Amino acid sequence: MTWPFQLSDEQAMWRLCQEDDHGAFAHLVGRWQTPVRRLCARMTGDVHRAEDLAQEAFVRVFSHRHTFQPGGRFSTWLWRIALNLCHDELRRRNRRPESPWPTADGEDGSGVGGAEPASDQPSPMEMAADLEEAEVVRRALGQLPDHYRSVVLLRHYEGLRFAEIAEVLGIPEGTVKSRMAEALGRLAVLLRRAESDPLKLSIT
Amino acid sequence: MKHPIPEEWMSYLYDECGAAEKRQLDSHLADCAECRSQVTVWRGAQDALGADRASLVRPGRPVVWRPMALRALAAAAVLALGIGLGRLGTMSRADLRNEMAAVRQQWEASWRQQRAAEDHELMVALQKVAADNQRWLGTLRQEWAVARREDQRGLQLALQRLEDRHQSDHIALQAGLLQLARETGSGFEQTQTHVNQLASYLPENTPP
Repeated sequence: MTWPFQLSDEQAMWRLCQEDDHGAFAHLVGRWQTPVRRLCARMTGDVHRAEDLAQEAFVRVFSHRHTFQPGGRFSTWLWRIALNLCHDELRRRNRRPESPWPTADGEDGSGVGGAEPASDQPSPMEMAADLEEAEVVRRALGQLPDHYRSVVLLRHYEGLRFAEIAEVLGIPEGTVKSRMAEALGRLAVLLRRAESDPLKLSIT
Repeated sequence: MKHPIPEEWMSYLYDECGAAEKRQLDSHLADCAECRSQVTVWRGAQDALGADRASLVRPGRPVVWRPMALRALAAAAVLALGIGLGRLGTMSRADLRNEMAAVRQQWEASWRQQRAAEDHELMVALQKVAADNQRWLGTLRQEWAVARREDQRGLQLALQRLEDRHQSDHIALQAGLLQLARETGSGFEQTQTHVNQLASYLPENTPP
């Protein structure tokens, strides 16, 4: 269904809850699927899995639609759902050895270390791909602990203000800002090391 | 010197602090080499994050993946990589970098082309939305005029009906009053007759 006016997310949610309006749900999916997919891809480092996670996030939106607080902001609720799914995925993955990220850093916040690449001699294809600047950044992001990475993604790429990130994560705004500062500091170290040796992206 | 805490610098770096706070931090930054160096590090990381180009896709803007365009782009990338790989075995690191720069340039050109096409599509879509809005507004205006005319007609009718009723009420009231006056007049005459009759029964010398 098309509306002659710009339907806000909250209006669409209201229609979805009150009237099970599938058009309103399609409107929400159309508007948010790209940002959610993007967040999931950057959180997990796996674009294909991100597709599934984004889909799962919208399934949850639909099945949990009656738990949405009418006064709340839809985007905050959606980001929380997507991040929870990403965290579940990363927890599951950490139990398995084959992780797209070299290794997630320990939650104790010590150092910025990661693991060596699986092979000491990267193939020419790997070398070529690794030289891509964006890839370097993505890898560096992947080496941040999850709770730092989520703050960076929401603030830097999705443009949420610190107060909204605090609401999404359920933590004080000051904590969000200090995580951001710590994350930027760690990224700077990771990127500097990657720059000094572009062929070795996994930093010890 | 008291240094601002990292939280304050984050508000500053992401334009979330007020004008007064920004001035204060600006002036601190000008005076304090230690903080300047730290902020430079953070800014460097911020700039580097911008290298991940997917961030340019804004929330709320639907991305339409065109399979043909994507396939063409992928084919071009594979071709470029294939040509590059053929020579990789004998390449030095500098050559490899140059090769990668060329591939990147090529990729950027096709990416820019794709962006231009997307922008064009967006413009067309926006124009369509604007036209739709105009049409919708026109319809709304017409409907509103019709509704207003109907309202006016209804109001006139109601007023006419009220006036008619008022007039008939007025006539009925007038008739009632006349009847009352007539009845009052005849009652008065009757009473006068009764008084006269009673007076005639009294003896002549009785004081009134």
